[in-house]
Amino acid sequence: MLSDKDLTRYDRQIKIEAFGKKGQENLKKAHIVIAGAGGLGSSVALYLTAAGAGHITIIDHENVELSNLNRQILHWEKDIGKSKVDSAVEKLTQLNSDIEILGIKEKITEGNVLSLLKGADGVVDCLDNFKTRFILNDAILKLRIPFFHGACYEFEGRATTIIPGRTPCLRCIIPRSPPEKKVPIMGTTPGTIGTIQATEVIKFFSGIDPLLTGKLLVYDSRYFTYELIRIEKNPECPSCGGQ
Amino acid sequence: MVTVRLFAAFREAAGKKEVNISAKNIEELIRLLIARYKKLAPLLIKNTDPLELEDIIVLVNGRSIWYLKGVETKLKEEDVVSIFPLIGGG
Ligand SMILES: [Zn+2]
Repeated sequence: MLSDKDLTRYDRQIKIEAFGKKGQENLKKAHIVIAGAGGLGSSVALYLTAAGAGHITIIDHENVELSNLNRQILHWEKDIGKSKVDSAVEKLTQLNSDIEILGIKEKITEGNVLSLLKGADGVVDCLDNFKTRFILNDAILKLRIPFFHGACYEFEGRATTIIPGRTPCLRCIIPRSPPEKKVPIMGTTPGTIGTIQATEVIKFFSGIDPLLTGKLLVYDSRYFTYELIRIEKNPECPSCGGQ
Repeated sequence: MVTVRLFAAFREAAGKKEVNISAKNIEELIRLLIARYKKLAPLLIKNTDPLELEDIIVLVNGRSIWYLKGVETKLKEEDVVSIFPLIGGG
């Protein structure tokens, strides 16, 4: 399953006993959807591409703007005005030409979400609003696939890994969506949180425990803290009913 | 005493990451908290009377109070209440 080139390319991570050739093979087979090609999406996509996730689909409906460049490191000055997914796919295929990378320029809605996620083994939440996060949350519950949540504000970040049937869903902890606005974000925050989400994806598909399941990571780079908050399923949750 | 764990900006405003408070429900706890740490008030509440919370996450032993009884959610001695801002940027 792994080629000689794979064995050389991924040698340093294959050397990790808990990961090994088996972990690399499983990662190569996985089809991962990255929802959003912004700050979190840039970090997640770069690391999953470099790590050899075999099939990556990246979805975003926006074009690159100058004010994106403080944190969306997949997009450069020359890409301003271009679609984010085209800009992302261009860089990612140059980084790793051995994997399958697909860009879809579409807004995720209740109507198209199930067809967009067709064949996906996991979804990474790299969005900037809760309305779309809740659409994805409901879809992954239906499809019974894992959902890797991330969010940022200034120097703060959050991450948790949602596995239908095993952990609380996003709606269990966040019942309502806050008003949408352009929030302040230090460029490095999505870099860190995206790296954590990508690590969770790699660990999940290669079977390495423990994951951020039933735990919300609260990260603060201004005061140098990483903390875990235990989270529980909620029987009243409108999305999962605590199942 | 209920253990209150504050995170992120709330920790900065209170100057503490953990506080012990004796309160019978969330409303009483929030009122005591903002009386003790004045800088927390604008971050935690929208309205004092009736008490209306900002868009924040309040968990009692890991469960969101919005699925319990909101600010009327009852508290026991050994409960752990975690309070942190709701954030959604990417
Ligand atoms: Zn739920």
